Amino acid sequence: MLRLGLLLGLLVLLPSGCGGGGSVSQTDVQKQFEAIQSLAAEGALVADGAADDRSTDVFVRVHSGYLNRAAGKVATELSSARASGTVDGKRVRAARLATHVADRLATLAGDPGDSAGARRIGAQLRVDAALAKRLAG
Amino acid sequence: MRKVFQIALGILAAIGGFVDIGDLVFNVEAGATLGYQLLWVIVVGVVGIIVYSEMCGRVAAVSNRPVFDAIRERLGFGVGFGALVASQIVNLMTLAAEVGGVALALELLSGLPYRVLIALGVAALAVVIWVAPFEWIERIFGYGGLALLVFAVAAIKLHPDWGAVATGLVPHGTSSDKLVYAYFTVGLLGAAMTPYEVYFYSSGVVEEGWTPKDLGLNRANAIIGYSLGGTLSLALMIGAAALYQPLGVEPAFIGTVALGAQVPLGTIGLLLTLVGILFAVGGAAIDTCFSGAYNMAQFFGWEWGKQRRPAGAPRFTLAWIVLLALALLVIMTGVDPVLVTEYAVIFSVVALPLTYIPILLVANDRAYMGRYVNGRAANAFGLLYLVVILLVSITAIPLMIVTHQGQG
Repeated sequence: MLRLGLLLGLLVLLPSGCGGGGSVSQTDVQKQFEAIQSLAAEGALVADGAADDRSTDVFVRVHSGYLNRAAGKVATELSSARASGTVDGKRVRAARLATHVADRLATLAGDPGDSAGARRIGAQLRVDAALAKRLAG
Repeated sequence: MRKVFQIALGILAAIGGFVDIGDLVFNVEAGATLGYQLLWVIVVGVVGIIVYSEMCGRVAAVSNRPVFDAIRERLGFGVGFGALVASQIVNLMTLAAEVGGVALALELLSGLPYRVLIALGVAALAVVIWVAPFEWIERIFGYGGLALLVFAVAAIKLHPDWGAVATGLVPHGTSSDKLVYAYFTVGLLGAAMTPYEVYFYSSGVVEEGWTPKDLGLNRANAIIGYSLGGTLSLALMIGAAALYQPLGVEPAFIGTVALGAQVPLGTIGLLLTLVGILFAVGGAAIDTCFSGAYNMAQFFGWEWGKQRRPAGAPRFTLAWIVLLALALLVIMTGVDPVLVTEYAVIFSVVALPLTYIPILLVANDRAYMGRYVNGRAANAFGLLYLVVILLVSITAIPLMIVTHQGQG
């Protein structure tokens, strides 16, 4: 019964993850850069499909929406966190980059039928992904 | 000829029904994180589910006794009840994840609001369960799930490194993070050998009235169906390794799975994937729902079976309705189905020994099995997998915690 209680406790606690507002370490910021890289790279693939008319508007809108919310969450967590010394500079940079990625994904989700716009966003997201990868080290 | 046709239909349904949300999530995550390194685990997992499905199907066909009957008898009421509670928690988590997966696939197809689609999806599943005969449920969803074969084409079109694929089929570890490697190994085994599959399989054998005459069909279904179904898992991992690992994409959405076919194959690949996910995950939701009801009914000795009318098995009918309603409530809270899937797979690993040990014991009991008792090969594989199962069940939750679910 105790084991069951522990399992249920884990079920409740683990999904909550780490929220914003706390202090972040170098490793935390690095992980967030990796998350930004992932979201930007995936967003670029979605944008490519929209640009080449090889996807559906519904998929582009819905999936970009999910990626946008995830990037927005990263941006919010980083913006509301604190860090010391040089790590804080990286935190601010990561927050800014996550916001850019979220904005681009929101634009893609808002007008999935705009092929030219999708092509431009795809290129921008690829640049964002490369930058995030470099900053993640 | 009719027999061959029947076998072919069963195998097709088994292929299409092999992949569930746990396979989709873990194979794609493992491929994106570790490339081709863990392809061998899929092979190990598929052989394991073949060994135990064949065994529990044989036990059910010969003795007319499904898995939970054996669990209650072999483990006694106390431990058996513990196994029932554990399996029902895992079943409910899995069912909630599958329901969420159905709604997500519908959302990516239709663009309608997610929560509305959860309710519509659950209502549709309930109607299908209530109205359709057992064989049709199995086949409609199995055949629909065959659309996921598009992943095999997608994986080839993504031009994977075939040398690395071949190397990945042999156990080895080049990952710098051994714990992440171990976490995904455990998760992939759990996804392939998830307990609800054997609960459903053995109960299905009783539902369809198989006898010792059908043991050939049982063996063919298990070996050919699961082997070919396992190729879908391989294709998922190969595709994710080829497409996502070089880009550093960490898959966290069902849409990411579909994107893996859209990139190489365009709109047709995307639509086939979404339809395949809808049927495969919808079918798995029904299997899980039934498994929960089967377990309860078999443990407490209630009348059970889809073949009986609801009035002929009222408590069994109430059990699946309650499970479906609970899954609806869980997923309506807004919890992420992908996250629920990960927990469900890892917790199911913990419950694996309680499911598989009684099957092995009964399959060796001449009083039940007569001349159909396990042979040397079945026992050798059965014991080997029991050791594997015990190891992964001990390590599953610690690995999940220390690796932050494979995030390192």
